[in-house]
Amino acid sequence: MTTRASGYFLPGDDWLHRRNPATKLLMFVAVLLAAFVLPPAILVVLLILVAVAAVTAGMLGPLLRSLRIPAVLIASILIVNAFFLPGAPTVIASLGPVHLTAEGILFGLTTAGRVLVAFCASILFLLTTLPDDLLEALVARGASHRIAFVVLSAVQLVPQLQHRAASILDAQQARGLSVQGSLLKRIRALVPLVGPILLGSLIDVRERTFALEARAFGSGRPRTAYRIVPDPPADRIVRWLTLLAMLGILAAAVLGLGR
Amino acid sequence: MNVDWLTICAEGQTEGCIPAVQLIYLIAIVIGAVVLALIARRSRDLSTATLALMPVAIAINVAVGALIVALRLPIYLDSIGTVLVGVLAGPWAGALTGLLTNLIWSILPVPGGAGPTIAFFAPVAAVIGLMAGFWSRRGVFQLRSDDERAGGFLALAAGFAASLVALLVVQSTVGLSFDAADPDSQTRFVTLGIVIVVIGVAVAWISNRTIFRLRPGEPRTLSYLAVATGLTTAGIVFVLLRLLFSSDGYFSTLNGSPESALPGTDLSGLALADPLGLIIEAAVAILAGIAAWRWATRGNRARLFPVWIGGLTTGLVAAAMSAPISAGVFGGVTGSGTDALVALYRTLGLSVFQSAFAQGLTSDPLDKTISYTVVYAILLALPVTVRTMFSRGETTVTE
Repeated sequence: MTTRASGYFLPGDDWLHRRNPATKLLMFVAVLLAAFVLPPAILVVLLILVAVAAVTAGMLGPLLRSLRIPAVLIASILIVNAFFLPGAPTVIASLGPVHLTAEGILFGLTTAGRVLVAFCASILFLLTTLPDDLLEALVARGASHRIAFVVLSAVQLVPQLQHRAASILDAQQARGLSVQGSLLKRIRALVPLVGPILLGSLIDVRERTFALEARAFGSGRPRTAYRIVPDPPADRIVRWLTLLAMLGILAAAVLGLGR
Repeated sequence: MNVDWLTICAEGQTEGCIPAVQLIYLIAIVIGAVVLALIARRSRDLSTATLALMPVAIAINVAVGALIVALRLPIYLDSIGTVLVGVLAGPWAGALTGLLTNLIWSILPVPGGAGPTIAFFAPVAAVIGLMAGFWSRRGVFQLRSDDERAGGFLALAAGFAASLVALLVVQSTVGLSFDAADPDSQTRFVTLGIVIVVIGVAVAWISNRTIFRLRPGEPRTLSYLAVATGLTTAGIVFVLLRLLFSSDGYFSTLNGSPESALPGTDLSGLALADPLGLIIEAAVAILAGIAAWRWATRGNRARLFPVWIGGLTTGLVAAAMSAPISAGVFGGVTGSGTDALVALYRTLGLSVFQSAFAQGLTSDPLDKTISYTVVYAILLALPVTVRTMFSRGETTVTE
């Protein structure tokens, strides 16, 4: 078990890895904005853009492999909308009580396309950015170190909670708790399992509070950083260009371009 | 500049206008931004103990929520930690916990996460935290069985019940139809709506001043709460049975014909004709109500009634907020266990938005009631030394 908050991160030294996390976050927000406010035709362009970025950064393989995660969501958006879009008149094919409609397919494709673009952009961001670096970069930019602590510590606590759950399961089974059998029996077995997990983690909060206070977490004095995240000069230019692009996207959406 | 497109779409119109769901979605974004700014301001004066509690609460939210997603159940249970923080450390800490839960979950490689889906519902999670703080300040998790403040909750429930009865009476006599083309029906719809709300408010206000005006230590409080638990259970069971089994209920549409939701399965025999069906449903509801009343009279169990009121109202607000997001962003389909419900409601003839809202109304109140009950149980079991570390820890359950 690893307690390091690495998540999806894959080490590398290409142009995308070298960007400052704040730059990548801004680019990610710009892609999201374009996907949701511009007409659906832009989705194809955005997908190509994300794919080109992935190829040049050597991240195409991991990106494609990670696509199995939203597969269920995208399939269910396509299927439910293609067959169950209410009030869609153009029936293409009928399968018993359900009708495949042209409007349903179009609506499903648009929605699924938006989700796909958003997912690919976010996964590319996560693949090339270490969460520690992201938070350190945001704190250096004036974000609250208190909130950064909450986020990073929560990300690390999820695997710890799973680890604790496994050891409590072992302990209760050693005492003779049966976790097999009928559904009712398994639901009853949840109480002696979930109870100690929740209460144990909540009681740990007291220890953690004292540890934080002993290290002057609540002090308002200036802090020094252990990790220094590089911010190359090229990043500043990229950030300004991204901001301009976002303004352009908003202007295009408000002026009703392509409507 | 031409602003003709800046009008709300009429039924069936798709071009040169803004769909209503998109407008609601925009409003939700604005509300979310305002809530975010307020949270950011308030988060500066959170104590170290609160900041140490929030990661644990977020981890609990994500762990339990991911388990529910993996089991494909039509509920969520991803706000237990949010409610806990809202109760122990105040509404703004709760709101921040909810917001961060959804943002962090969307980047974690666990079921339900690893994608932007859940992040879009962050404003809903924030409001759940706000409401938990609001209800805890009203004493939902603190009431002793003879607390005088229980009267306020009883009056609130009475007001709700009165509005519901008024709605049913109007439905079965005048009818509550809304026709966009007919200004007369619109006026009637609005007038009747106002009358129904006024009746509910009046009943709540008057009963709060008269029969539910309780003194501290009043022994009647416990029996009132128990009776209210029984009546509410009977009411909910009756409405559910009517929805499913009445002669035009959901089971009547599953007649095995190819147009129904489950072709080949004929369940229309379960749709009972009135008055026999009405009598059976009423009898079952009364039996369930008596069982709930007997259960609640033992010990201090009736204290859970205010907790459930908090959970139900939070669920209603969550449903109203998440429906436009779900319909506007995902077309109502989010890849979790609730999709089955959405597909069912669409086959029953509801629109994209209506089916998302109906799904929320089915899942959310139940989900939040369970969450509030779990939080109540956690607070009962948590040592006093841990609870009193937080600003509002002393105002939660003792005994």
